[in-house]
Amino acid sequence: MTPHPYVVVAATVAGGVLFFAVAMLANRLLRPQAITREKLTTYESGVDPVGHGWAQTQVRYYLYTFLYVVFAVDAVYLFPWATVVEAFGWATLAEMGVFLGVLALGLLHAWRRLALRWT
Amino acid sequence: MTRVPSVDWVALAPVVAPLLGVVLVLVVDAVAPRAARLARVHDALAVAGLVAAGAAVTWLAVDGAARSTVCVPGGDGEAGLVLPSCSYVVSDLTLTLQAIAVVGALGCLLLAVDGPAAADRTPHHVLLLSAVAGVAALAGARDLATLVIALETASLPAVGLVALRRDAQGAQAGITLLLTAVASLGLLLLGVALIHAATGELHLDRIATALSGPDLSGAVLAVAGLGTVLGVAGIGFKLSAVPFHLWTPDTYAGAPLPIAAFLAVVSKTAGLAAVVVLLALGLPALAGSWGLVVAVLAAVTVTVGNLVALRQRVAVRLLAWSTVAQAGWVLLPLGAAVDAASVPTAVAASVGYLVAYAAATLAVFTVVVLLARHHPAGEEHTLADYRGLARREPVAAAVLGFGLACLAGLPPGVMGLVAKLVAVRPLVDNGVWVIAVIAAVNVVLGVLYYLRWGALLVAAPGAGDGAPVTWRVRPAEGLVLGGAAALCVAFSVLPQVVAGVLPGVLR
Repeated sequence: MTPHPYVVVAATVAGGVLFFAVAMLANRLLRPQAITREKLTTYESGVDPVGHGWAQTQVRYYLYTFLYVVFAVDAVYLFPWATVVEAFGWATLAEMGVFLGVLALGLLHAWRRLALRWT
Repeated sequence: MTRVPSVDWVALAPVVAPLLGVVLVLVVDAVAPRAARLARVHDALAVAGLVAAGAAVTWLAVDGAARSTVCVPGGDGEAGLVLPSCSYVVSDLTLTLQAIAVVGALGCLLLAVDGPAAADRTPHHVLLLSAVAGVAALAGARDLATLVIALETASLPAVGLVALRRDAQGAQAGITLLLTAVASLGLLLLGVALIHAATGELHLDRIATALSGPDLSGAVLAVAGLGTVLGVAGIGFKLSAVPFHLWTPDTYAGAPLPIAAFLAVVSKTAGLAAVVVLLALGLPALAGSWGLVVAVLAAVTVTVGNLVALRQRVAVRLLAWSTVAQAGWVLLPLGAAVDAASVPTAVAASVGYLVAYAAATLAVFTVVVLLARHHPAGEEHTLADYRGLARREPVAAAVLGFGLACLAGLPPGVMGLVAKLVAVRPLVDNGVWVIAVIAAVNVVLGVLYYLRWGALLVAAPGAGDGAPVTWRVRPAEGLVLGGAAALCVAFSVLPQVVAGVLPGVLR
């Protein structure tokens, strides 16, 4: 008898929680406890932390974030398409070409409008 | 095994033509960015895109063939034979709504080309054409997913268009519209999801069949009904129906004037298209429920819009509130739907009213754009600045007066009068008397402020006005002024056009 699908999901979630809890608990029991002030500061790639946690981000990152999101969403469409393109043939290849072409045109437009220049 | 659906590009031409215009404008701009000497090329490409869309609509209407595309095949379902369903259908409804959107957008584009909003042509033309493509797709959309995506394609570019006025007020207007658009999208998605959950179908004709079955459980009807209410609320934001109208005055006042005209004509068309496609084609079986909701919504919208418009002094704000009231008028006939059989007449009345409203609004906005350009107060000018306009600019004053008469429904604006009769007739036929009486009261309220504005045109000029500026009407503006006036006169001479749109089967 196969279990109900939700039982499988619940078992997977429970396994994940258990794994995390056991790992953290083992860590706590096995490690030496020698707290110093240095160790309590924020760890930032081994470098002393600079500035405040609420530091402002440069607004010019916004454009790159935007372009990244555009192409990340594009990839979301590409992956399911890639699994069926062989079965569907040239028509979908052409359609995806149109889709990518429009995106590429947008990128070309951003580049020609100097939106990609840092300074 | 699913197949790739075949695509009928002729049927889709009204959607594809503006998008081709977008691509061409972007290519020209990528070759030569910000080239001021290419401004006319951009204008020509954008106008060509819209004209091509209009030509496609005309050709499809003359051809008259029943076209539909992107279909899923039918077959033997659990409950018998299932007909094939299509995501995009060319019908009288589709073509009429597309024609209104394309003609309205062409007018707004011609008004905008030399204005401050189109100082940088590329973003303006690209956004405007994208929105038109969205409305065109929306008019033909016949499944829930296409409906939502097309409605968003129609509304999100409008946010960019509003923000093109690069000052604090423009930014404020853009943010207001963006937040409204996102909130309304959330409501619409929730509503659409509930309808899908209740019926298990995506195509509107199959949803209609699923909901018209004899033995539906109460739970299914409750979920579908809740979805309908949320969907109407989501679209109500786009139509600026009260209580979802609060963005309208600030956005109209903050947008460049031709863009305000675009919101008033094209975005309203999008809103009505969404309402009609969702309610009349997908949920006619629930007409008894949504009819009442829409009737109350429409009555409140008309009344609030008219009452607030009475107190407005700034021309743009008066127009903003008047479009709120007119949105109520557009919705009013749909409120008369009591069962599936009464839906087609109600839809025909709604779309007929929209035709008259769009032509008259375009005429009024053209004159307001012209006066704003020749007045020191610009877009903030008040009704008092129209005092004595008939003596200085008789042609423009005549067009404005006629447009206002059409909006008010007073002779000589026969078009508006017939449209109001057509809108009220389904209410009377189906015995929705309370709403019909509210509508009649609102005719009087509307006449009050439209007439007051019209009377100012022929009043004696005030003493302290100084030397009036002689208007220099640009050819593009003259074309819109003449075209809009011609449409108003033509529909007033032949009011049966307004009364008789959508004679055929609703599909």
